[in-house]
Amino acid sequence: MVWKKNISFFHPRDLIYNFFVYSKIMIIEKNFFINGLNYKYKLSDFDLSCLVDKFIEKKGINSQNIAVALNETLIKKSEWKKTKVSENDRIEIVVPFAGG
Amino acid sequence: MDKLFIDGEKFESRLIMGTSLFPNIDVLNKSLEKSGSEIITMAVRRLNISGENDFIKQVNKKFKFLPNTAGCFTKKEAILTAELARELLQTNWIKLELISDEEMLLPDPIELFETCKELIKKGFKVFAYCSDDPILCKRLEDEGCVSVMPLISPIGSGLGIRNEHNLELIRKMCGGLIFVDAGIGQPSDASKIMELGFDGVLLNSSVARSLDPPTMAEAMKLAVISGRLGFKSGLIEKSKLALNSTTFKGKISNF
Repeated sequence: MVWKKNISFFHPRDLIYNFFVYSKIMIIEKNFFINGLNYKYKLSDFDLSCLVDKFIEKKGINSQNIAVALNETLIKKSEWKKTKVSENDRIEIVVPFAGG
Repeated sequence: MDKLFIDGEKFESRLIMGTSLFPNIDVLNKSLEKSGSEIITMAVRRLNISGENDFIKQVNKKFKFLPNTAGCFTKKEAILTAELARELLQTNWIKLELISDEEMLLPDPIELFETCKELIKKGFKVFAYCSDDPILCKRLEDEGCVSVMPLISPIGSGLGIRNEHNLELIRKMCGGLIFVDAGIGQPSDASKIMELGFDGVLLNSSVARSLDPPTMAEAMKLAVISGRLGFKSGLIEKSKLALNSTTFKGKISNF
């Protein structure tokens, strides 16, 4: 019977494959406190770099001109990608401002 | 005028300008130009997602930036602000402002002293905004601050010199760099401070809130130069009695 050849049977290998595929698509939403306000973001990777990019996207802000603190600790730009962010983290994103 | 050396860098101007309260960015830039300043101070604030964030792009890049911790009330807050400023502006210089209340904006000397120690340990070059207490100024200087910056009256008050005797004592006790930071109202205040032998003046409100900021900035520049030249050329001693400048000798007669 020709049609029987096309039937794919369940195999543990498929489960592992599907996990990797769908984990990228089924992105989880998390809550963050950025500059004192509540934001919910769906991110593919929960690192600081991703979160900052998401926050400043479409606002015409260059990430070179900002500095970031995570839970009251400065995170240098070079560390953003390596720094994971978790639900309810407090993030401060600052810029130079007129002052005396 | 004699050159000013701060942290190994040479400067022509002894006037440091604040960048706040100007009516707009053009007036700010014109005023900075007219002031002849080479160092300007600025704050660090949260990114405003719906407003202007390009302050740094609009200010002329030729200036040396002295970031400050304006508005900080605690050691923790000030240290994080200083670290953020260092990351933002790529400088170890920090004008440490640690105030105790919102009404008078007076520095909190105890918290300030402890924070200074911590920041110096972290490699910052600290410019400490403090009260006009000679002992505190001396202690801050001994701790390793690049410059001590006593106020002469509360920030933005324009009240000018309130305690000249203290300023004289500060100058006498501290051999390092001393700038006056707050309270200047008029050019003669700046001139007087320089005549007392201070190394420079930092001001903001007296220029920014005047009717014509660029012209006032120029007036402040000239006042600082005038005061410094006066100090360097040696002021005469004060006398309670008159000392005639024209001799009586050779006068025609005593009618």
